Amino acid sequence: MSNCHGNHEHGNCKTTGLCPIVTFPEVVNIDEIRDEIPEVKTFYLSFPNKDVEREFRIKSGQFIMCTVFGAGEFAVSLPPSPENDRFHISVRAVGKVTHALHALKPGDKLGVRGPFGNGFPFDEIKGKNIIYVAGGIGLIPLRSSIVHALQHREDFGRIILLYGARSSKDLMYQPDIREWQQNAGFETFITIDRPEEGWTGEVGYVNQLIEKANVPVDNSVAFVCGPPVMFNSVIGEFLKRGMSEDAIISTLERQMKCGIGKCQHCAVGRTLVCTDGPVYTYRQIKTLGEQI
Amino acid sequence: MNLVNYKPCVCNLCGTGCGQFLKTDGHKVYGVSPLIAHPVSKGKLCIRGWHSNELLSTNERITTPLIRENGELREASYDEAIALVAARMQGFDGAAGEIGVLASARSSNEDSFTLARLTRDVFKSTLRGIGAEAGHRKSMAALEHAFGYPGAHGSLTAIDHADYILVVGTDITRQNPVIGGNIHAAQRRGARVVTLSSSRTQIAKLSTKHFQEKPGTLGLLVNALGKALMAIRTVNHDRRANIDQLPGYADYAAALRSISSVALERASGIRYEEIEEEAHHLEQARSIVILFSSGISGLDRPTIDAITNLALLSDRMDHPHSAVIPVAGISNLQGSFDMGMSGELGNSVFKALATPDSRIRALFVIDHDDGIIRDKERIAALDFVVYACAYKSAFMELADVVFPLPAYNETDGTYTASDKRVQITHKNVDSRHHVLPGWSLFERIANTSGQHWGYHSATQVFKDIAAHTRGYGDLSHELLSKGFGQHWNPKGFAGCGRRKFNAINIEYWESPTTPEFPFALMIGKAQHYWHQNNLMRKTIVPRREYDQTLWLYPQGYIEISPDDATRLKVRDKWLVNVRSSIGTHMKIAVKISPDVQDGTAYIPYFIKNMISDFLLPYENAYAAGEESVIPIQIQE
Amino acid sequence: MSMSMYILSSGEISALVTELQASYDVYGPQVEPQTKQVFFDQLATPAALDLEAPIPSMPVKEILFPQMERILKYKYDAENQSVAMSKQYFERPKALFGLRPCDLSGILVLDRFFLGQEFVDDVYLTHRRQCLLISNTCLHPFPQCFCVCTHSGPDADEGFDLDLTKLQDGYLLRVGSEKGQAIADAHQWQVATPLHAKEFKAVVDRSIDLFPEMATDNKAWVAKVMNRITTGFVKQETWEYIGDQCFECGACSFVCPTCSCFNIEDTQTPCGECERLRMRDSCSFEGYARMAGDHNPRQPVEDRRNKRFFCKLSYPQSKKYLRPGCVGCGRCQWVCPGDIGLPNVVQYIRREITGGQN
Ligand SMILES: Cc1cc2nc3c(=O)[nH]c(=O)nc-3n(C[C@H](O)[C@H](O)[C@H](O)COP(=O)(O)OP(=O)(O)OC[C@H]3O[C@@H](n4cnc5c(N)ncnc54)[C@H](O)[C@@H]3O)c2cc1C
Ligand code: SF4
Ligand code: SF4
Ligand code: SF4
Ligand code: SF4
Ligand code: FES
Repeated sequence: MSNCHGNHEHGNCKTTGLCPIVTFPEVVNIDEIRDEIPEVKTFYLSFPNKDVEREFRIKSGQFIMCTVFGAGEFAVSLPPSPENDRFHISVRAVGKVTHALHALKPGDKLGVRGPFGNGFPFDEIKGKNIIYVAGGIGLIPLRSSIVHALQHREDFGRIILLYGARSSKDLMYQPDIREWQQNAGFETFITIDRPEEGWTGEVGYVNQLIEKANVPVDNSVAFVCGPPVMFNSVIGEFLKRGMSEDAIISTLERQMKCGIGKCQHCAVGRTLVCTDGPVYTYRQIKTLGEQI
Repeated sequence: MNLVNYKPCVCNLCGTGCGQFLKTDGHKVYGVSPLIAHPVSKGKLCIRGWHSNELLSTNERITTPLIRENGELREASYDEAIALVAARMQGFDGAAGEIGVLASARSSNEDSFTLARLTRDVFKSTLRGIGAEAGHRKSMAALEHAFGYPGAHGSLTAIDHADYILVVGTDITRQNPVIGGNIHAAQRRGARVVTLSSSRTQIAKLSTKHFQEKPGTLGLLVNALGKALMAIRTVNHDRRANIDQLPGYADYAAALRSISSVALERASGIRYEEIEEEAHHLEQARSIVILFSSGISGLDRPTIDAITNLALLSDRMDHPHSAVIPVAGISNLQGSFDMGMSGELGNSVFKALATPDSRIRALFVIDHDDGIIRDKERIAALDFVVYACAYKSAFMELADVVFPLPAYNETDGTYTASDKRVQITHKNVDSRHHVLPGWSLFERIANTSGQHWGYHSATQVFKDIAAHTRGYGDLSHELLSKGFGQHWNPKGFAGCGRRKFNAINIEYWESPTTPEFPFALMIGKAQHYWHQNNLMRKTIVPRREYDQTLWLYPQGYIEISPDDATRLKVRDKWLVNVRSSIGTHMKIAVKISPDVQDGTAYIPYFIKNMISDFLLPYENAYAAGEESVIPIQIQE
Repeated sequence: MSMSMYILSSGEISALVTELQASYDVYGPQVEPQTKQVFFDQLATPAALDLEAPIPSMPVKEILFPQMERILKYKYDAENQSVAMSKQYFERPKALFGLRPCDLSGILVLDRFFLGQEFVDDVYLTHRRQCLLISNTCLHPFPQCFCVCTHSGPDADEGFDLDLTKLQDGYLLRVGSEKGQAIADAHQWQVATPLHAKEFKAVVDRSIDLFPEMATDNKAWVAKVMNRITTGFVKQETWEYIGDQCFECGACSFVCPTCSCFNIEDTQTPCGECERLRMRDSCSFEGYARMAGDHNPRQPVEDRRNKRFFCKLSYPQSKKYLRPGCVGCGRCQWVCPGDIGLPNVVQYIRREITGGQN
């Protein structure tokens, strides 16, 4: 891609020969906007430039830098599967740029750089059980990997999702969830913090589901994304059950300005989240020597 | 293409007056560098100074005169806007108090001097004032009484040589960081640095000794130090005798003698023995520097009186490395006083605005930097409001006519730092929009009103300043351009050289807290309490830093000690109900800080809704600044 | 390549500057007349160049990594939902004439950081491409210099196109690259003799001898301190002692020849356009790492200082730079209103290791 100024050392270049968009944002169109949960919207996007679209290949767990014109740029995960999925992002309005994004209409344009980051392992975990554990909007970064794994169902052992949110209104990707619940090869456990009228699913915190789901620890990997409190209790539970620190995988979030390992805002310990992460094993996270 | 070069000038973002280079091609500012040879800043700048390039290249500038028409501001020519102002102002009776002028403590001396002339000669008004003046006027009055002239005694450079440095109250590493740095360096070279402060500020941590007194007792503590020093002096009879010949000594000495160590300890929490020990250090010092903050968050008059008295009593004030310096938060607070823009006691613009039946009808305002506009409704109801500033601000909404002004590097001007050092900044960038400097704008208004001053340059204005302003007689632009400024000469004042003690009263301050309202709440101390918030909001990195606090505590915060937090069963960032003894209340987040003592609480001054809803009923608290206390209760 | 060496007179140096000015923007050390402060700045005339001027007060990185620059401009048309973008940084050939070896090392560090690693930073590359680097040996240290401890002076040993050293007979010019050789080949400069080479060595040795004992003595300590910082064995009290002295001004980052952190912000212009600005940033600031939603992993000031020294003196970071991150220029010591310039921090950690004995 003409836009690439990479040293072709980046994951994308090495594996696909296709470079990410590094310096200049590429224009994308907002095709559709869906209200997801309170304060979170999903934006379906497409590249007007079809050459770029063809070469824009992602890995689960990667992210892009998204420009909201007039407001600024921010980092956002890629929830679509690398194969046969619509290009979209899901964003919670928290500050200046994300609020400006929420004010846009279909047909408005955004800028995109990326994809960046190491992404979740895929080939390395073939043949294993996968346990996805998500809290709240922690499902956003996991969605890509979930859909991708289901697309290759035969490559894996058990696939389990433990997902919790504050209330039924706060559950992300509900159409997906309904579909997943119908999928016999996918064990889903959905919980909300407090009982609600009409709610027939689980009640309580996600860590309590581990017991319930009877999660396997041998030959398994766990992908865990969610708020720090949830993260810590879930990790504790897994470790107690004898899961290896290398088999617990998560993503880190840090302030990001460049996405390409230059501004250093995203430094954690000796690593940069944008290029060395955002995916880390729990063993790595522990040795970074900083607050999560 | 013009060469980009570094041009020396003076940082305009606080009353320290640091030397700074701006990197510019004459059209835009590309960067900043500190000025190593500057006698005060010696190659250091604070976060504000280091980011002046961001401020100086902001797009949020006022670029042309504006006139309000049908409720909207529209662009206008200078001729039209000036003619309108001149005509409207003639319709008001300045002598009767209908015109108020609010000057800026950031303006150059040239601008303030011509503004004073405009006020006096054209508007015929005596109703004037400077933002942030209240505290500084008290400092000036106390210093004039003590030393015979209204200004600092000695130089900021004394810090680099003095044996003993006393910091009274101020959170100096936040408000005037470069002075704070110099004090820290002095401590490291062996000077004794003593801080009196009710909270554990950074300078307190960096001091040789920190007295953490109970709120409201700073003055008492300074007087207690005086008492202990006097006691040593009485034993050492060979000491200079003439101190006790100074006017006011007898009363002062009697007041000091009346201090009871029991009452002192009860009120301040500090034991007299500790004070006595400190007095021995003070006695042994050959040179002493005392610093306190002046301006809106400054000290009250009794505390400043206590400070000047202690300075005189020490008998070290003739040493070249001794000083008493009211440290200003705003760059030219001292200069705007010197130029006569401070209102007469009891007759300031603020008072006129706050008094419902005052006759004020028109207002002429320069640089209203504060995010908070006091008496906003009254101003909105005035017949005519003129506003002039380099940067856009909320005050424009209240104005009928708006004038642009140049930024500090777009015009020649002199500025007088906290220690009376007058420094010049030469124009190093062309004002992008051919904006008239303040003095020239005022002259043209005068001209249109039929008065001809005949100024063609700032240099010429300064000649008039030198001719008419006490202390400035020896100075000129030519002289100031050689070196790094010069202190104005106190000998310009007839009283210079005579010393007098201020009258003091010993009061054991009773905390107004009650079992029902057990916390002593203080305002004005916060890490990001920067006077020029409107300016800092035009930058990028400092704005981010300032916003930090608001991000972490979107509702604002109240700082309390860890033990009190435990007692109240609250955690950091939890919302609490704060109720004051006069019934105002607010919901605000808790910030737990080990630097705060039990029973005290702090809220930052800058958080807007707190000021207007909660604090404004406390008129005097607002005016009394650093030492004022409001009894409150805090509930989960 | 074997290094060619020549001897140039002052006249030939001036002539070289004039000649380079035809095809490059030539920058060099010059003394600001009023304050006597030295800046490495674009030369109006060859006469402005002062090769004997002390170390420039601001690092040369200013030229390749400006304090603030516009990198992108765009206009969003909300009505038509379209956007027009244009790049705002441009390439110009630059000759940096008379770099102090520490500043040269600083450029090498920035090169490895911005151009090495996984991605190339296009903005830096654009400023850096077509640069001619001409270094200048320090005949004696300036106050606060300690490049001898960080292997970055007083003479340059890599990375230059041409290198100058003042000897008795004139300037010894060493060629360090093909680009430099091409320039030399186009001149009839007198070829240097082995005697000159010997004199060069003596000049450098004398310069090293002139470093204050503290600086040379620190040499071994820099390595030990690096070890401590990398392994995380510096005591929390030491970081707190350091943190208490930080005034959070950012100066240390702004004057450091190897600090590369930047911030990016989109701002509106009055005419409805938007500019993407890139400006230097500093890890000393609280806002540097904070994230939306109440989370700042590095809020306490001592943690932020710890970050700085990890960046300057640790093995993982050195791997990126292929040398320690500190090049010993001493500038952070000059500008710090606290007293925690890098050399002092080495002292503090050293004191911790020795238990108070120096
Ligand atoms: C790898 C990664 C993936 C992410 N994925 C998602 C996602 O899928 N959906 C979602 O809603 N959010 C996601 N975030 C968080 C999102 O980037 C921030 O919420 C966003 O930057 C906030 O920007 P703002 O301007 O609205 O906030 P402001 O508070 O106005 O922040 C100003 C600037 O600070 C920086 N910043 C603040 N918070 C963060 C943060 N948490 N992470 C990174 N930079 C920050 C940004 O540069 C931002 O422009 C992700 C962050 C990272 C690092
Ligand atoms: S201390 Fe004051 S004068 Fe000095 S750099 Fe900071 S704001 Fe400017
Ligand atoms: S850390 Fe300090 S001494 Fe080292 S290179 Fe940076 S500025 Fe120079
Ligand atoms: S992290 Fe800090 S020390 Fe490292 S390059 Fe950035 S500003 Fe400099
Ligand atoms: S220069 Fe000193 S005070 Fe300023 S940020 Fe760096 S370490 Fe802190
Ligand atoms: S986002 Fe800039 S280095 Fe990671």
